[in-house]
Amino acid sequence: MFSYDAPNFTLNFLTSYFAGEPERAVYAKFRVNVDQMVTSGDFIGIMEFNGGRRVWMIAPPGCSGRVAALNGRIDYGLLADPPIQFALRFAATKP
Amino acid sequence: MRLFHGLWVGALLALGCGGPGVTLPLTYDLPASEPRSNRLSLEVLLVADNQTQYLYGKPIWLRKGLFDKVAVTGIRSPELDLYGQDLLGWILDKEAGVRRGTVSIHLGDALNLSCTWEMDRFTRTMSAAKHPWFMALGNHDGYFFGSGRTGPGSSQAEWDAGCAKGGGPITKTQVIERYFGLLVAQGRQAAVATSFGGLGADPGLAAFAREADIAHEAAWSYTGNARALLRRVKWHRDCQYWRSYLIQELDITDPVDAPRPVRVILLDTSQFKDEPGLAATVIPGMYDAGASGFMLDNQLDVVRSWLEEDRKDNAVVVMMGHHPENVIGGPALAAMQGLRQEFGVELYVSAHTHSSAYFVYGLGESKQLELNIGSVLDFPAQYRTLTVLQEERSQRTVMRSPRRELWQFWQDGVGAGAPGFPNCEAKKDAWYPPDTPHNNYADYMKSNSIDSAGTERMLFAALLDSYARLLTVAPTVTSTAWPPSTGTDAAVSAHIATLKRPDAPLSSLQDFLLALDTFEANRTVQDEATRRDYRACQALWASTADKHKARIPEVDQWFIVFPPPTAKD
Repeated sequence: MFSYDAPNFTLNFLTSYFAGEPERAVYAKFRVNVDQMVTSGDFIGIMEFNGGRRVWMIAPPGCSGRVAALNGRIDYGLLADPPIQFALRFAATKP
Repeated sequence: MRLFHGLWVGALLALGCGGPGVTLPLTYDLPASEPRSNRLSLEVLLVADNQTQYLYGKPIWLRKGLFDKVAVTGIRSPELDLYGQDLLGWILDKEAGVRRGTVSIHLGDALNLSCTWEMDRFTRTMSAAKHPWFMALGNHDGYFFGSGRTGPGSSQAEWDAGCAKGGGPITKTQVIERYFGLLVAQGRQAAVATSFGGLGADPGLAAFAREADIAHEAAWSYTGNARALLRRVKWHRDCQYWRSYLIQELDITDPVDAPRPVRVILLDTSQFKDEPGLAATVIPGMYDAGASGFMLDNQLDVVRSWLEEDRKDNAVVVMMGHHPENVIGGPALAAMQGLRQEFGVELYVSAHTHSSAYFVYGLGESKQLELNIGSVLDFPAQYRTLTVLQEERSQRTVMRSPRRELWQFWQDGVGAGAPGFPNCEAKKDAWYPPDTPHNNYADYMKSNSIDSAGTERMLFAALLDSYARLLTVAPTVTSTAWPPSTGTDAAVSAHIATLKRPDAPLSSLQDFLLALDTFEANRTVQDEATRRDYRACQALWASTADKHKARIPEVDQWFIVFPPPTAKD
């Protein structure tokens, strides 16, 4: 579901993941907050799909840092299409 | 959409029923980012006002060059009418297709003159939706030209003429019967469809198809235990067709453990006590179906009973209908706003204006919000999606409704390299029509003719030229329906040239255009994607020109290239 852009400290949604899904993603229920530490394997939240299916959002390998921003305006209808959209941005300086 | 503008808006706003100046209180948040919420509903697609136009009837009084100057939607650009339904088709393919598609709600004005041909064409357009779709009827769905068959230039004879060779007029009662049949057809498909995510097959539609009978029943409700989109339908067929109505209740609740159900009541705002007619707002006690919406007590009583049951279920209810509240007739508006206040209906979604806006209505200390959605046809062809959520912290209802304007959406999609977006800019040199008579999308506006036949000949000539250009861009490989006396694209083009002679009988143009319409629907081309994109781009460019009634840059146009210098420069 994610690709981690380490140079830019950004966790992005992977368009190919959503393009492979039969249903549309309609809501990302984040369970992390700004300033919270996230490391690889952490539970970030739940992605909900039309029809009721839910998929856990897990921080991928290599992804680690303090959350600087959550994407509060995800265009769910375009998650399967470029351009890529971000899920989380981490603080540039790791603690 | 209304045929006439302005006469009535000011009068109704003066009554204090809503519009500019009514302020939404601070208890409504307007956040820039999504509040942390629990999702209550499916994401549904909202579309409206595609105005399918039958182009090949006899000349009618209302479609003449001069009249189009005062009734701006009297005549649209021929290319917009010819290809415009492809815009709705594209939207449905993108948002309601097999993969990642969702439920669609159409808020009316599927037809324009209200001819049987238009209903057939609309049915074909909606076949692009691979998930259930529902509709609230608009004033063009069963009323001549969206207004009615009485009044200046309007009569049954004019309606018959406009729909000549197009299956004849289709009244409101008949539209209800056809729509009823489309619900049944969907239910039969749903019963066998492969289900994924709970969207492919709706138990409500399947039960409706099995149980509902338009000949004998007047109401249906789902009694099964499964989650069903279609919950209730109530219809009334009246020999005075303007009194007929059909309303529906949908359950768009999505997650299994949603804290509250979400219901949508699709109203029928084109139900009148007396027969409406064109421009009848100037006559006290009469209605123009385009200028005013209305609902009778028999419909409103049912809505009340549904709302009472929804309240017991603690449901979030969204009302939807074609007409905005500010044009719904006084008693019906009072009843509707009273129901919204009594049952806490926080949102009404409407269409009809062809623009897009939020309206706020003041009712003493309380306020009511309306979301008005734009047209999928007229510039900027647009649509929205709607999801209902509940804010975690406060338990308040949250509405999420992104809006997309096709011209911008397509440019962004192409720029990002997304598949399936027509790249009109890249093809503009090849596909934009040459600047010769009848080829400019807005050329028809030059006519100030009072002669309907002359106007029709001009429109037919533009349509014939459009077909000739289409054949050069997307040549025919095979066809099961060649126009008479043809069998090759060259023969079709040659016949088009003969029909453009001034002495060619108008009826011969009409007949050949009808044959071309069937031909286009029944031919294969080498590159289907090119044909699809060509048609879509023609519609988009025509919609831009039609908005301004000329080729004028949009205010958001970033770049303009000026003509080459002439010798004297």
